[in-house]
Amino acid sequence: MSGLSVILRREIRLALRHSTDSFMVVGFFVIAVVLFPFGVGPESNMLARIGPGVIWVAALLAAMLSMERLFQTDYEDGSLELLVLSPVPMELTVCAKVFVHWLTTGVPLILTAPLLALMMNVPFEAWPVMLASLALGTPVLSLIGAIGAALALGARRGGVLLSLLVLPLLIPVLIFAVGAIDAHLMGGGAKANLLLLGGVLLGALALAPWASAAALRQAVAS
Amino acid sequence: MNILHRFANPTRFQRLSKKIEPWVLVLMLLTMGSGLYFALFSSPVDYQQGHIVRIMYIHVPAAWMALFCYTAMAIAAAISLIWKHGLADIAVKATAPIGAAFTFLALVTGSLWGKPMWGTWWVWDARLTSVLVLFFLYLGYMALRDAFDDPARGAKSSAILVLVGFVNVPIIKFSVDWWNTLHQPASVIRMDGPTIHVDMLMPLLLMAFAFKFYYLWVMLVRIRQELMAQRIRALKHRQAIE
Amino acid sequence: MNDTNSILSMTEHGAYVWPTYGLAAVVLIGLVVLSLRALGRSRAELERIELETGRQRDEA
Repeated sequence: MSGLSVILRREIRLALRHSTDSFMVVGFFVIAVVLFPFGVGPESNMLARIGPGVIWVAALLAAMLSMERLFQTDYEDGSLELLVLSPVPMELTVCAKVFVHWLTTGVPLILTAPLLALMMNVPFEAWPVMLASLALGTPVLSLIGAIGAALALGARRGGVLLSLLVLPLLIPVLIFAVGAIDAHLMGGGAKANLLLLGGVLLGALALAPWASAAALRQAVAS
Repeated sequence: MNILHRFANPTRFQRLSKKIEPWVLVLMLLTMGSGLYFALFSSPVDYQQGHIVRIMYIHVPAAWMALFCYTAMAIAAAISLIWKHGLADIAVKATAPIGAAFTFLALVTGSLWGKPMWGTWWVWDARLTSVLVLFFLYLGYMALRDAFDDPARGAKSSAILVLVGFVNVPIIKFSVDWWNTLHQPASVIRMDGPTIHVDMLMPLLLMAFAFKFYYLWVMLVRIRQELMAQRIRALKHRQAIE
Repeated sequence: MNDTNSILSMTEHGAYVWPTYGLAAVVLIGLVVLSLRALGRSRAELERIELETGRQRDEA
């Protein structure tokens, strides 16, 4: 376990050094949502209706923006090769990187969401479900995003390619997350959708480290 | 796995393929011809749907092929990764455009069927959405494969993508059972056997076989082409060093 | 059950059925054409290169 904690501490140190990345992700999140009242008009009922969806789509896109750098710097300076060769299983290393990525991307998104919900006139009663959906969903964004980042590592136009690969796979997350919020607002329960979201999270936890590690080994071997 | 490795030899494969291809082509033309005849002329008009039901003879086999091709790709991708089998990897590359074409056809013919039947070109139910995701997966595979300067890296990376995306296939298959929305539930491949009338079942099965032979024939052609391309790259590489 | 006129027009549904079959033909035949053309180009290129490397080896 000591190897893993070394890796974890390294990731946190690197993340703190590049703290501007988190601000950029939050900045994009805010700007993307703010564009909507300008684009579709400020009528408050309509904004409230589309609010949960807009916030979630913006979160998705903001998360995608930050995915590319998950493995990029380590790949370029050779640290990735060392990580692959280290006694710590690559799958655990990926988990550590994804966890720190979520701390620096997902958590800021969750913290910023209430402000955006206010701007989009999302009713207060929906906020707990919205935050729950973000809490369950943002880790999935980091996990599935990691697969894309690993697959596209070193590719031409890697950032765009990564988004094109990952966003279709994240559609179920979007459906269940917004579905939970909408179901709650319409009086039904959010439970079913949130449970499905939780299921997706568990599935991602099982699949993503394995797939990412395999892809990273390929990247390093070439 | 000796069977697999017997066919890994490019020259042997090309010889075998050239022998098989004419037969597959003939079978395709026969099944396609008879399938089209029954689909367009000899099969009955559905008492509810009228002539519109004839779209089914393209839409359903195309959808079956969309899933079939992706499953074939996943199996070949697994073989190529686990046993480092070069020909399996080429098979994945060869199949992708065919699967993408069938998925595209399934989506568009589904819309053409949906508009007169249920009044809408598209609806975001589970099956249509997951088939759309399947289409994106095909395109994503082809894009990822091509995005690397090193072809080997592109091959392996995209093979992993195929396997990751395979979770979508059971979702497509069972989505009409799990969620009761617009797309109709399974009526052919069911535990209790088909519920569809035999006069309609026959053109459907004929077209299904026709599409399978089509896939086999085009795939063999594309594999041969890729083997040649590989040889060209190897020769060019040798030219460059000499 | 089906006379030729009725089939060709298929009442008002012809507008959906014929584009379906037409599109399928375009897509499937198109893919065949593209694949065969690529095969022809590869074969030509391979012959050209094998000739060249054969010549190179003779010259060497």
